Amino acid sequence: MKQEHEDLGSDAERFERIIGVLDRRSVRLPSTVRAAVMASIRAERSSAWSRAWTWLAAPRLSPLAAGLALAAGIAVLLLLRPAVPSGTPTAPAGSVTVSVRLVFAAPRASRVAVTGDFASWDPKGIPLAGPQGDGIWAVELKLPPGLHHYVFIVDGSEWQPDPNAPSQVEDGFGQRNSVLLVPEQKAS
Amino acid sequence: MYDSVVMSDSPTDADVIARVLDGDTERFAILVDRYQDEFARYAKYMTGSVDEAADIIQESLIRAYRSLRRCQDRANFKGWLFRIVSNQCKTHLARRRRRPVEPLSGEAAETPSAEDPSADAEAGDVRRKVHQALQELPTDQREALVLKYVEDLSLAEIAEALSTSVSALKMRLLRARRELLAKLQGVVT
Repeated sequence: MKQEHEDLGSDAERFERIIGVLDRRSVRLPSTVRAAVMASIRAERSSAWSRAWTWLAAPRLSPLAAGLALAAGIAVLLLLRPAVPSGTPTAPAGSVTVSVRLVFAAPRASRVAVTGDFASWDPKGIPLAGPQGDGIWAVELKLPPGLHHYVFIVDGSEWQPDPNAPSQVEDGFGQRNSVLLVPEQKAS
Repeated sequence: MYDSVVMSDSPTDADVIARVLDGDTERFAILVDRYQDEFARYAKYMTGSVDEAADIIQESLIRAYRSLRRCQDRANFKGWLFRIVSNQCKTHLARRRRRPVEPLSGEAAETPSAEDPSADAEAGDVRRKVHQALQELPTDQREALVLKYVEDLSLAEIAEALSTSVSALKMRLLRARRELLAKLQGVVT
Protein backbone atom coordinates (compact mmCIF):
# COMPACT_ATOMS: atom_id res chain seq x y z
CA MET A 1 0.00 0.00 0.00
CA LYS A 2 2.79 2.43 0.87
CA GLN A 3 4.40 1.94 -2.53
CA GLU A 4 1.08 2.84 -4.06
CA HIS A 5 1.13 6.17 -2.28
CA GLU A 6 4.71 7.11 -3.02
CA ASP A 7 3.41 10.06 -4.98
CA LEU A 8 2.31 11.60 -1.70
CA GLY A 9 5.85 11.64 -0.33
CA SER A 10 5.94 12.18 3.41
CA ASP A 11 2.13 12.30 3.52
CA ALA A 12 1.78 8.67 2.47
CA GLU A 13 1.52 7.33 6.00
CA ARG A 14 -0.91 10.06 6.99
CA PHE A 15 -3.10 9.21 4.05
CA GLU A 16 -3.12 5.57 5.07
CA ARG A 17 -4.25 6.53 8.54
CA ILE A 18 -7.07 8.51 6.94
CA ILE A 19 -8.35 5.68 4.81
CA GLY A 20 -7.90 3.36 7.78
CA VAL A 21 -10.84 4.98 9.55
CA LEU A 22 -13.27 4.65 6.62
CA ASP A 23 -16.37 2.67 7.45
CA ARG A 24 -16.33 -0.47 5.30
CA ARG A 25 -19.26 -2.25 6.87
CA SER A 26 -21.86 -3.41 4.40
CA VAL A 27 -25.11 -1.47 4.21
CA ARG A 28 -28.42 -3.29 4.29
CA LEU A 29 -31.29 -1.39 2.76
CA PRO A 30 -34.80 -1.74 4.18
CA SER A 31 -37.12 -4.28 2.59
CA THR A 32 -39.27 -1.41 1.42
CA VAL A 33 -36.81 -0.89 -1.43
CA ARG A 34 -37.49 -4.31 -2.89
CA ALA A 35 -41.22 -3.90 -2.35
CA ALA A 36 -41.24 -0.50 -4.05
CA VAL A 37 -39.24 -1.72 -7.05
CA MET A 38 -41.47 -4.72 -7.64
CA ALA A 39 -44.64 -2.68 -7.12
CA SER A 40 -43.43 -0.23 -9.73
CA ILE A 41 -42.65 -3.03 -12.16
CA ARG A 42 -46.06 -4.62 -11.67
CA ALA A 43 -47.77 -1.28 -12.21
CA GLU A 44 -45.83 -0.65 -15.41
CA ARG A 45 -46.48 -4.16 -16.61
CA SER A 46 -50.18 -3.73 -15.99
CA SER A 47 -50.14 -0.38 -17.74
CA ALA A 48 -48.30 -1.82 -20.75
CA TRP A 49 -50.86 -4.59 -21.12
CA SER A 50 -53.62 -2.05 -20.81
CA ARG A 51 -52.11 0.06 -23.59
CA ALA A 52 -51.58 -3.01 -25.76
CA TRP A 53 -55.19 -4.05 -25.33
CA THR A 54 -56.39 -0.53 -26.11
CA TRP A 55 -54.23 -0.50 -29.22
CA LEU A 56 -55.49 -3.86 -30.39
CA ALA A 57 -59.12 -3.00 -29.70
CA ALA A 58 -59.11 0.47 -31.23
CA PRO A 59 -60.23 0.70 -34.84
CA ARG A 60 -57.60 2.43 -36.96
CA LEU A 61 -57.95 1.46 -40.53
CA SER A 62 -60.79 0.32 -42.63
CA PRO A 63 -60.57 -3.36 -43.50
CA LEU A 64 -59.69 -2.33 -47.04
CA ALA A 65 -56.91 0.02 -45.97
CA ALA A 66 -55.59 -2.53 -43.52
CA GLY A 67 -55.61 -5.12 -46.24
CA LEU A 68 -53.75 -2.81 -48.57
CA ALA A 69 -51.21 -1.97 -45.90
CA LEU A 70 -50.58 -5.59 -45.23
CA ALA A 71 -50.49 -6.42 -48.91
CA ALA A 72 -48.07 -3.59 -49.47
CA GLY A 73 -46.09 -5.44 -46.83
CA ILE A 74 -43.13 -3.87 -48.42
CA ALA A 75 -40.19 -4.55 -46.20
CA VAL A 76 -41.92 -7.25 -44.23
CA LEU A 77 -42.11 -9.70 -47.04
CA LEU A 78 -44.01 -12.71 -46.01
CA LEU A 79 -43.21 -15.72 -48.04
CA LEU A 80 -46.35 -17.46 -47.06
CA ARG A 81 -45.46 -21.01 -47.46
CA PRO A 82 -45.79 -23.77 -44.90
CA ALA A 83 -42.51 -24.63 -43.39
CA VAL A 84 -41.28 -27.76 -41.74
CA PRO A 85 -39.75 -27.05 -38.36
CA SER A 86 -36.07 -27.52 -38.88
CA GLY A 87 -34.21 -26.64 -35.77
CA THR A 88 -35.47 -23.10 -35.79
CA PRO A 89 -34.80 -21.85 -32.28
CA THR A 90 -37.86 -19.67 -32.26
CA ALA A 91 -40.61 -22.25 -32.41
CA PRO A 92 -41.34 -25.33 -30.33
CA ALA A 93 -40.58 -28.61 -32.07
CA GLY A 94 -43.55 -29.91 -33.95
CA SER A 95 -45.39 -26.61 -34.07
CA VAL A 96 -46.61 -25.10 -37.30
CA THR A 97 -44.45 -22.27 -38.49
CA VAL A 98 -44.51 -19.88 -41.35
CA SER A 99 -41.51 -18.62 -43.27
CA VAL A 100 -41.19 -14.89 -42.90
CA ARG A 101 -38.65 -12.81 -44.75
CA LEU A 102 -37.54 -9.58 -43.09
CA VAL A 103 -35.55 -7.03 -45.00
CA PHE A 104 -33.90 -3.83 -43.85
CA ALA A 105 -32.12 -1.13 -45.81
CA ALA A 106 -28.85 -0.11 -44.19
CA PRO A 107 -26.21 0.60 -46.83
CA ARG A 108 -23.62 1.82 -44.35
CA ALA A 109 -24.07 -0.84 -41.70
CA SER A 110 -21.40 -3.44 -41.18
CA ARG A 111 -23.87 -5.84 -39.62
CA VAL A 112 -27.58 -6.02 -38.97
CA ALA A 113 -29.52 -8.38 -36.74
CA VAL A 114 -33.11 -8.72 -35.67
CA THR A 115 -34.39 -9.43 -32.19
CA GLY A 116 -37.83 -9.67 -30.73
CA ASP A 117 -40.14 -11.75 -28.63
CA PHE A 118 -39.39 -14.69 -30.90
CA ALA A 119 -35.72 -14.43 -29.86
CA SER A 120 -36.29 -13.66 -26.18
CA TRP A 121 -35.05 -10.15 -26.99
CA ASP A 122 -31.55 -11.49 -27.27
CA PRO A 123 -29.37 -8.35 -27.65
CA LYS A 124 -27.17 -10.15 -30.17
CA GLY A 125 -30.20 -10.98 -32.25
CA ILE A 126 -30.46 -13.12 -35.34
CA PRO A 127 -28.07 -11.89 -38.03
CA LEU A 128 -29.37 -10.71 -41.39
CA ALA A 129 -27.44 -11.61 -44.52
CA GLY A 130 -26.07 -8.82 -46.62
CA PRO A 131 -25.72 -6.26 -47.66
CA GLN A 132 -26.77 -6.90 -51.17
CA GLY A 133 -25.79 -4.40 -53.85
CA ASP A 134 -28.44 -1.92 -52.83
CA GLY A 135 -27.64 -2.07 -49.14
CA ILE A 136 -30.46 -4.45 -48.34
CA TRP A 137 -30.10 -6.94 -45.51
CA ALA A 138 -32.43 -9.89 -45.22
CA VAL A 139 -33.21 -12.91 -43.12
CA GLU A 140 -35.79 -15.64 -43.31
CA LEU A 141 -37.35 -16.74 -40.05
CA LYS A 142 -39.75 -19.51 -39.23
CA LEU A 143 -42.33 -18.11 -36.85
CA PRO A 144 -45.54 -19.41 -35.36
CA PRO A 145 -48.73 -17.62 -36.38
CA GLY A 146 -49.66 -14.62 -34.28
CA LEU A 147 -48.41 -11.17 -33.44
CA HIS A 148 -44.68 -10.67 -33.05
CA HIS A 149 -42.82 -7.60 -31.86
CA TYR A 150 -39.30 -6.97 -33.12
CA VAL A 151 -36.60 -4.41 -33.83
CA PHE A 152 -33.47 -4.40 -35.95
CA ILE A 153 -30.03 -4.03 -34.38
CA VAL A 154 -27.58 -2.08 -36.51
CA ASP A 155 -23.86 -2.57 -35.90
CA GLY A 156 -24.55 -4.35 -32.65
CA SER A 157 -25.88 -1.41 -30.70
CA GLU A 158 -28.39 0.74 -32.53
CA TRP A 159 -31.93 -0.56 -32.09
CA GLN A 160 -34.30 0.57 -34.81
CA PRO A 161 -37.89 -0.34 -35.56
CA ASP A 162 -38.65 -1.53 -39.04
CA PRO A 163 -39.68 1.61 -40.97
CA ASN A 164 -41.63 -0.51 -43.39
CA ALA A 165 -43.58 -2.55 -40.90
CA PRO A 166 -47.35 -2.10 -41.15
CA SER A 167 -47.47 -0.92 -37.56
CA GLN A 168 -45.40 -0.06 -34.53
CA VAL A 169 -46.21 0.03 -30.85
CA GLU A 170 -44.63 1.52 -27.78
CA ASP A 171 -42.91 -1.17 -25.83
CA GLY A 172 -43.66 0.31 -22.42
CA PHE A 173 -40.02 1.26 -21.95
CA GLY A 174 -40.00 4.43 -24.04
CA GLN A 175 -39.03 2.74 -27.30
CA ARG A 176 -41.00 1.48 -30.27
CA ASN A 177 -41.32 -2.03 -31.58
CA SER A 178 -42.39 -3.09 -35.01
CA VAL A 179 -45.33 -5.44 -35.16
CA LEU A 180 -45.53 -8.39 -37.48
CA LEU A 181 -48.70 -10.40 -37.95
CA VAL A 182 -48.02 -13.91 -39.09
CA PRO A 183 -51.32 -15.38 -40.34
CA GLU A 184 -52.50 -18.93 -39.89
CA GLN A 185 -51.86 -21.15 -42.88
CA LYS A 186 -54.91 -22.62 -44.53
CA ALA A 187 -54.78 -26.30 -45.17
CA SER A 188 -54.45 -26.94 -48.92
CA MET B 1 -45.02 -14.50 -7.45
CA TYR B 2 -41.32 -15.15 -7.61
CA ASP B 3 -41.10 -16.29 -4.00
CA SER B 4 -43.40 -19.21 -4.58
CA VAL B 5 -41.93 -20.32 -7.89
CA VAL B 6 -39.30 -23.01 -8.02
CA MET B 7 -36.31 -22.05 -10.09
CA SER B 8 -32.86 -23.56 -10.43
CA ASP B 9 -30.64 -23.00 -7.40
CA SER B 10 -28.73 -20.00 -8.60
CA PRO B 11 -29.74 -18.80 -12.03
CA THR B 12 -27.22 -16.57 -13.73
CA ASP B 13 -28.05 -12.94 -14.32
CA ALA B 14 -28.33 -13.70 -18.03
CA ASP B 15 -30.85 -16.50 -17.30
CA VAL B 16 -32.95 -14.22 -15.14
CA ILE B 17 -32.88 -11.41 -17.69
CA ALA B 18 -34.03 -13.76 -20.44
CA ARG B 19 -36.95 -14.90 -18.29
CA VAL B 20 -37.92 -11.35 -17.38
CA LEU B 21 -37.84 -10.28 -21.02
CA ASP B 22 -39.94 -13.29 -21.87
CA GLY B 23 -42.64 -11.82 -19.67
CA ASP B 24 -41.89 -13.40 -16.31
CA THR B 25 -41.30 -10.01 -14.74
CA GLU B 26 -41.52 -11.32 -11.18
CA ARG B 27 -38.10 -12.85 -11.74
CA PHE B 28 -36.64 -9.37 -11.62
CA ALA B 29 -36.91 -9.72 -7.83
CA ILE B 30 -33.95 -12.11 -8.04
CA LEU B 31 -31.80 -9.33 -9.42
CA VAL B 32 -33.16 -6.91 -6.85
CA ASP B 33 -32.23 -9.28 -4.04
CA ARG B 34 -28.87 -9.92 -5.56
CA TYR B 35 -27.78 -6.32 -6.04
CA GLN B 36 -29.76 -3.91 -3.89
CA ASP B 37 -27.27 -4.11 -1.04
CA GLU B 38 -24.28 -4.60 -3.33
CA PHE B 39 -24.21 -0.93 -4.28
CA ALA B 40 -25.80 0.49 -1.14
CA ARG B 41 -22.50 1.26 0.57
CA TYR B 42 -21.23 3.03 -2.54
CA ALA B 43 -24.43 5.08 -2.80
CA LYS B 44 -24.28 5.88 0.90
CA TYR B 45 -20.75 7.22 0.54
CA MET B 46 -21.69 9.20 -2.54
CA THR B 47 -24.72 10.85 -0.93
CA GLY B 48 -23.78 10.79 2.72
CA SER B 49 -27.11 9.29 3.69
CA VAL B 50 -28.56 5.80 3.90
CA ASP B 51 -32.02 7.12 3.11
CA GLU B 52 -30.83 8.84 -0.03
CA ALA B 53 -28.84 5.75 -0.95
CA ALA B 54 -32.03 3.70 -0.66
CA ASP B 55 -33.87 6.12 -2.94
CA ILE B 56 -31.08 5.97 -5.50
CA ILE B 57 -30.84 2.19 -5.49
CA GLN B 58 -34.62 1.91 -5.81
CA GLU B 59 -34.76 4.30 -8.75
CA SER B 60 -31.75 2.65 -10.39
CA LEU B 61 -33.33 -0.79 -10.22
CA ILE B 62 -36.56 0.52 -11.75
CA ARG B 63 -34.60 2.19 -14.53
CA ALA B 64 -32.64 -1.00 -15.07
CA TYR B 65 -35.89 -2.92 -15.50
CA ARG B 66 -37.21 -0.37 -17.98
CA SER B 67 -34.02 -0.55 -20.03
CA LEU B 68 -33.31 -4.23 -19.56
CA ARG B 69 -33.52 -4.93 -23.26
CA ARG B 70 -30.60 -2.54 -23.72
CA CYS B 71 -28.32 -4.54 -21.45
CA GLN B 72 -26.25 -6.07 -24.18
CA ASP B 73 -23.73 -7.97 -22.07
CA ARG B 74 -26.14 -9.82 -19.85
CA ALA B 75 -23.33 -11.69 -18.11
CA ASN B 76 -22.10 -8.32 -16.90
CA PHE B 77 -25.44 -7.07 -15.63
CA LYS B 78 -23.69 -6.03 -12.44
CA GLY B 79 -21.36 -3.63 -14.26
CA TRP B 80 -24.23 -2.29 -16.33
CA LEU B 81 -26.33 -1.73 -13.21
CA PHE B 82 -23.42 -0.02 -11.49
CA ARG B 83 -23.26 2.55 -14.27
CA ILE B 84 -26.95 3.27 -13.77
CA VAL B 85 -26.42 3.65 -10.01
CA SER B 86 -23.41 5.88 -10.58
CA ASN B 87 -25.34 8.11 -12.96
CA GLN B 88 -28.26 8.27 -10.57
CA CYS B 89 -25.93 9.34 -7.77
CA LYS B 90 -24.48 12.12 -9.90
CA THR B 91 -27.90 13.31 -11.02
CA HIS B 92 -29.08 13.28 -7.43
CA LEU B 93 -26.04 15.22 -6.24
CA ALA B 94 -26.41 17.79 -9.01
CA ARG B 95 -30.01 18.40 -7.99
CA ARG B 96 -29.20 19.02 -4.37
CA ARG B 97 -26.03 20.99 -5.07
CA ARG B 98 -27.17 23.98 -3.09
CA ARG B 99 -28.27 22.02 -0.08
CA PRO B 100 -25.87 21.85 2.86
CA VAL B 101 -23.77 18.71 3.01
CA GLU B 102 -24.66 16.42 5.85
CA PRO B 103 -21.88 14.39 7.39
CA LEU B 104 -21.90 10.67 6.78
CA SER B 105 -22.86 9.01 10.00
CA GLY B 106 -20.07 6.98 11.59
CA GLU B 107 -22.13 4.61 13.65
CA ALA B 108 -19.11 2.90 15.14
CA ALA B 109 -17.88 6.19 16.50
CA GLU B 110 -21.20 6.85 18.16
CA THR B 111 -21.03 3.80 20.40
CA PRO B 112 -18.00 4.32 22.65
CA SER B 113 -16.89 1.36 24.71
CA ALA B 114 -16.96 1.48 28.49
CA GLU B 115 -13.24 0.75 28.69
CA ASP B 116 -11.96 4.02 27.31
CA PRO B 117 -14.78 6.32 26.33
CA SER B 118 -12.50 9.31 25.80
CA ALA B 119 -10.28 7.45 23.33
CA ASP B 120 -13.32 6.16 21.49
CA ALA B 121 -14.85 9.61 21.40
CA GLU B 122 -11.65 11.00 19.93
CA ALA B 123 -11.52 8.27 17.31
CA GLY B 124 -15.14 8.89 16.53
CA ASP B 125 -14.47 12.57 16.06
CA VAL B 126 -11.64 11.84 13.62
CA ARG B 127 -13.85 9.39 11.75
CA ARG B 128 -16.60 11.95 11.40
CA LYS B 129 -14.20 14.57 10.13
CA VAL B 130 -12.71 12.16 7.60
CA HIS B 131 -16.16 11.28 6.29
CA GLN B 132 -17.10 14.95 6.23
CA ALA B 133 -13.97 15.81 4.23
CA LEU B 134 -14.78 13.01 1.82
CA GLN B 135 -18.25 14.45 1.28
CA GLU B 136 -16.73 17.81 0.44
CA LEU B 137 -14.56 16.44 -2.37
CA PRO B 138 -15.67 16.86 -5.98
CA THR B 139 -17.99 14.02 -6.96
CA ASP B 140 -15.59 12.35 -9.38
CA GLN B 141 -12.77 12.37 -6.83
CA ARG B 142 -14.97 11.01 -4.06
CA GLU B 143 -16.24 8.28 -6.37
CA ALA B 144 -12.73 7.21 -7.28
CA LEU B 145 -11.62 7.10 -3.64
CA VAL B 146 -14.70 5.16 -2.52
CA LEU B 147 -14.32 2.55 -5.24
CA LYS B 148 -10.62 2.20 -4.48
CA TYR B 149 -10.50 2.29 -0.69
CA VAL B 150 -13.98 1.27 0.43
CA GLU B 151 -15.14 -1.06 -2.31
CA ASP B 152 -11.57 -2.30 -2.73
CA LEU B 153 -11.72 -2.55 -6.51
CA SER B 154 -8.62 -2.76 -8.67
CA LEU B 155 -7.61 0.14 -10.89
CA ALA B 156 -8.67 -1.84 -13.96
CA GLU B 157 -12.08 -2.59 -12.45
CA ILE B 158 -12.64 1.04 -11.50
CA ALA B 159 -11.52 2.29 -14.89
CA GLU B 160 -13.96 -0.04 -16.59
CA ALA B 161 -16.80 0.91 -14.24
CA LEU B 162 -16.20 4.60 -14.82
CA SER B 163 -15.55 4.21 -18.54
CA THR B 164 -12.15 5.84 -18.30
CA SER B 165 -8.54 4.84 -18.79
CA VAL B 166 -6.31 3.57 -16.00
CA SER B 167 -3.88 6.46 -16.53
CA ALA B 168 -6.69 9.02 -16.26
CA LEU B 169 -7.96 7.25 -13.17
CA LYS B 170 -4.52 7.37 -11.56
CA MET B 171 -4.44 11.13 -12.05
CA ARG B 172 -7.91 11.47 -10.59
CA LEU B 173 -6.91 9.42 -7.57
CA LEU B 174 -3.75 11.43 -7.08
CA ARG B 175 -5.70 14.68 -7.08
CA ALA B 176 -8.29 13.16 -4.74
CA ARG B 177 -5.66 11.96 -2.27
CA ARG B 178 -3.99 15.38 -2.19
CA GLU B 179 -7.31 17.14 -1.79
CA LEU B 180 -8.36 14.88 1.07
CA LEU B 181 -5.02 15.33 2.79
CA ALA B 182 -5.32 19.09 2.51
CA LYS B 183 -8.81 19.06 4.01
CA LEU B 184 -7.63 16.98 6.94
CA GLN B 185 -4.53 19.00 7.74
CA GLY B 186 -4.30 19.12 11.50
CA VAL B 187 -7.04 16.51 11.99
CA VAL B 188 -5.03 13.43 11.13
CA THR B 189 -1.32 13.79 11.79
